[in-house]
Amino acid sequence: MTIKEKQPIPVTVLTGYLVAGKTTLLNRILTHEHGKKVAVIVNEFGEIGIDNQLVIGSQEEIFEMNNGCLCCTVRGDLIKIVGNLLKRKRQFDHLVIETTGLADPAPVIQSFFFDEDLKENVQVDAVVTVVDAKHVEQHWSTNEVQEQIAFADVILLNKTDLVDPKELDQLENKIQNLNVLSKIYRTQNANIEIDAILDVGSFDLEKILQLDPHFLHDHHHHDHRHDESVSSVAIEVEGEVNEVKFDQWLGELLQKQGNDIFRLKGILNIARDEMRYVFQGVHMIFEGLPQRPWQEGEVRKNQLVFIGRNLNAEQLNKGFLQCLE
Amino acid sequence: MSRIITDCSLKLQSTQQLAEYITKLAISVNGQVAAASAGGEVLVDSQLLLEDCEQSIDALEFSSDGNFLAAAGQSGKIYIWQIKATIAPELIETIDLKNNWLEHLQWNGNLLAFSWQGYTQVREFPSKKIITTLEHKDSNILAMAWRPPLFKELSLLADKIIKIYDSDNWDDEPITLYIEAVPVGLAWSNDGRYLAVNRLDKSVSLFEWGNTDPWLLHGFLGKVRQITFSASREPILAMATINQIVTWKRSKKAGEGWLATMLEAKEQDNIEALAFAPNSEILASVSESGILALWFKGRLIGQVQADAGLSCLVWLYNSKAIVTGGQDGSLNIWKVIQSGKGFA
Repeated sequence: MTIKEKQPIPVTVLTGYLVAGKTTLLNRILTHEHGKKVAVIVNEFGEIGIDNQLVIGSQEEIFEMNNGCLCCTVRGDLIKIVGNLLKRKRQFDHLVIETTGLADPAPVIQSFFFDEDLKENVQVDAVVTVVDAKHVEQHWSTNEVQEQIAFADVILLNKTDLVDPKELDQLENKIQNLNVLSKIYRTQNANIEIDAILDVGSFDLEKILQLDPHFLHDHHHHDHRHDESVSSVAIEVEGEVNEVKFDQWLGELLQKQGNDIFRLKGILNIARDEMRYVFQGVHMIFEGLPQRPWQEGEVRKNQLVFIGRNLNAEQLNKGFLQCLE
Repeated sequence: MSRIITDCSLKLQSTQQLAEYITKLAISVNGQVAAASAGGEVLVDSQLLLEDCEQSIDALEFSSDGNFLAAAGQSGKIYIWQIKATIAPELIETIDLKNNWLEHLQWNGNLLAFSWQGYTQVREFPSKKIITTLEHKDSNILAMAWRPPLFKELSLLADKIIKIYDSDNWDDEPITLYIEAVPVGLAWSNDGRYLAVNRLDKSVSLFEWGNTDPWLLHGFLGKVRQITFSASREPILAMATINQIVTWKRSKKAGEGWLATMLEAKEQDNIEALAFAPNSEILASVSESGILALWFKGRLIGQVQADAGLSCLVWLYNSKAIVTGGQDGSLNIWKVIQSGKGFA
């Protein structure tokens, strides 16, 4: 009997508005000589110009979990198909899931946390969002565009050749301020180093070194007001966290506002604990672990970043400060 | 009269090798064994009917008279073979449903039901006539089964709902049963009295025919992966969750509902499939680490370790042998030798 291979297969979730350049990127991933066998689950067949046995079509099917939480949804079709694919583990070592331009990325991500087979065998690597630099402004007011940016770990600001440099700077600022944790690359024809989008490890708690919110100019833009659109709130403060108070505060917060909190990441200095505590969340899903001991000379500061809708920075700050001892 | 069963030994009788993970096994009334693999192979007895396809085959079933075999999977193609005693199986139809990963097909006599995206169709063979096409745009079909013992009704499981159609009157409104959580699969008891639905939320809904209000069996460690009923007069419901097997029997006392018996399985070893013997209450299970185990009345009565992890199993009709499929593509036939003595 052999010991089970438990190295989870990384999954890249690829989102983006209709003609932003997702298909071009997919074709790049499939043809690039990166030595990985990549399986791709797509919504629409025919867009991909490559005959590949590992391109699988799937019709988006959203299941509500009915556990009393509206945002707890999964993709039933993915649970089935990924489950089937896993039987042929040798066949691929990376999975890319393409979502439609109108899709909410949350059910895709949540599927990998809710289903125990998927949770055990697969780990979300990163959400990659392709943004059409030329046309995104036209769709900016739609929920989908803002949500896809808000969920992203990596953003390709594509078709930069079609936009004047000044407008591009403004657009990049706007996107970065919406999602301060995302890494933005400017591309033409979705031309990017594969390393920048595959095996990024954005959902790997072990890899959270420090949260480095990229607030560009206008740093305090979102402070002290209730913002109805999607935004980021970052909290950075020294001090020791009372674990019980923190659990209670965050629990209540996710209970009340989980639907509006898209992504959440943090590092905590827990009182009377030598370990650095790291955590992340997607809507109401939350996971955390003591990551490693604080090092000598390391500043023991707490960092939290919320990305979501209707975030109230003042209230979040106040709430967290009450968790300090 | 029933034999007292003390212990069983399992002896490897024969073995064959396919290229990939065995996804599905089927057995015909004539004793023929069919196997399908994630590498697109279909094997009947020792003969490969399909092997030139890289895409997984996930549905495989003989018609109840054993005259037809249907297979389907990742490619979206359904293959139908006619099985004759003296000559090799003949491929009589290929239905191409283009790029729909097919997992569900079920025979009833010479009627074949299959689902893809928002549709379920029933065709007759060998005439290939389309009997009906049912539309259910709101949700994909997650599982299907004809209701025993007469196989007159076709039950379709979709998101939080079961629809049961009468095959004499396809246009009639189906019976509708609601499930409060995301379902995974369904199983009928052999007498058609009970319908169990395993759910993603670590529980099982159990309906009695004629009643839309189910029992809820819950408290399991994880997602309930498998459910199956024994063929006995008072059916036993067996279910597997992670490494745990639980059997349920309806209490004879009114109002007591169903009583559970927990079977001890090996730690950290997922149960991959369960099946009761056709003519007894012996339950067989196969696990991820390759253990084939036999259980009777809550007790382990025999087990054997295969060379590779196991994925599925079927009993031969006489209950004297079990066929297992392996995660490495191995196909084993195990002889079941009962060492029971005396009669009760």
